[in-house]
Amino acid sequence: MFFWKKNKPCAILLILILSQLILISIQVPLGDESSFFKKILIGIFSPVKHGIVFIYNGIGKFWDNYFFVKDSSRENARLETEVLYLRQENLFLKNTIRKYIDEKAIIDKVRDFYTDFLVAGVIGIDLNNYYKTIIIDRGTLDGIKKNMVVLDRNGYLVGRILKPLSFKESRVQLITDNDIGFGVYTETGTPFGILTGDGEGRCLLKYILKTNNNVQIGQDVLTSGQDDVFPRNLQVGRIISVEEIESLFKIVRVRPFFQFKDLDRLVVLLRNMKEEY
Amino acid sequence: MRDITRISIGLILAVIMYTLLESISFSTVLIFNIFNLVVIYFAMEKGETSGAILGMVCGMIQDSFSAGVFGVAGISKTITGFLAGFVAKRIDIVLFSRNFIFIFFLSGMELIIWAFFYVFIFSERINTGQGLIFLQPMGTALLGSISFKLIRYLHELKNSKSHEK
Repeated sequence: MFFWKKNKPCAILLILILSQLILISIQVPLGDESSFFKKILIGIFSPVKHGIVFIYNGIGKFWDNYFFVKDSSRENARLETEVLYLRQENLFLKNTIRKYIDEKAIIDKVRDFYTDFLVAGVIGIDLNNYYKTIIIDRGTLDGIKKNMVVLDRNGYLVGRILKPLSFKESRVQLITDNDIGFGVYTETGTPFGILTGDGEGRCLLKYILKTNNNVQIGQDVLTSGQDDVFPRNLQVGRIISVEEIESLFKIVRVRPFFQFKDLDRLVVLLRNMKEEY
Repeated sequence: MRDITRISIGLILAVIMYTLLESISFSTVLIFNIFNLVVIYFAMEKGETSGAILGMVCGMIQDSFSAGVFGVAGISKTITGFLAGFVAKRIDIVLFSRNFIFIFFLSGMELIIWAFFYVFIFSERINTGQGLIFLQPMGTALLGSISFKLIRYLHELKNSKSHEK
């Protein structure tokens, strides 16, 4: 009793550390699965985060709409020109496709297309794994499922849904994660390789033999569609360096096309659009 | 009861600040460890036991925002809270410069403990955000010493006004 009174703060510190070590050891075998305790905390803080992001975005929009309008007319003119070009492109593509399939089929396809993707916002990053995962504001209520493809606003590949966390939250595994792996090919058509993240914001094209001279700096990398997760021909990144070391394979570094600063708005493909891509 | 209310407000403010920083830019979350500031502030006021308990709570909240194992940030913040309360009882750290150095060392130590546990549990390198994470002790110390100074100033202002009445 005397010992407890004298060393009470130290004893409390030890108890707290021990209890957390036990908590950690319980979770480690669970792997990617969130513990019950963590699910409860996510459930509590998720609405708070949604609310704060909503208010922050609201203030940002208010600022843009009412105060920051000096560039709006120039921006409007630029967008009008862009829309004009896109309409022409759209018309050209429709006419080209019409040669192969009838108009009704095209209309059906285009109508389906809009229901096949979902716009999502990023509400969190993983501080422990900065280039591994992000959290988006769409969950099971929006029909999000594991392995759905996530693109950025320009259509560049960002990653895949790792798992829905709650009704309104899901975790996205980024292509810069060193645990991801998917089939890719370069714009020249060869070679097919496996792309993985380096965990530091870039990707590595693996298993490219030293004898292979088709891989060069500046080539674009696209998904091959061989992994049954990502459809073919999604734009992934550009080769920035090719190194030869004392190994059978080359070290090929790829800079992803998506930018971290542009991750505020994402697109989730609700089905595997293999035919469309 | 008043203390619990104040600590709860501190925690809510930290969650709001954390989410706002995340919305502005992901990098800012690496530079400023808001939860550390809440732990250090209340540990300085209430002592090592309260600091350790609050450290555990803040660490768990921070861990709930990330994908990793729950408790890694908790342990590092528990130790930080305990040390902050322990040292603050014995050394006068009210001065701005001393306050800055105090928070700088505690944040640096917290980062080292967190990195140690992270590497130990996950068996992989920590993501430094292209080196940004190394600015965390400096950024947190700067933000903390300015915020604490401001809070003390507002306290004094409030007290002097109530004395005048």
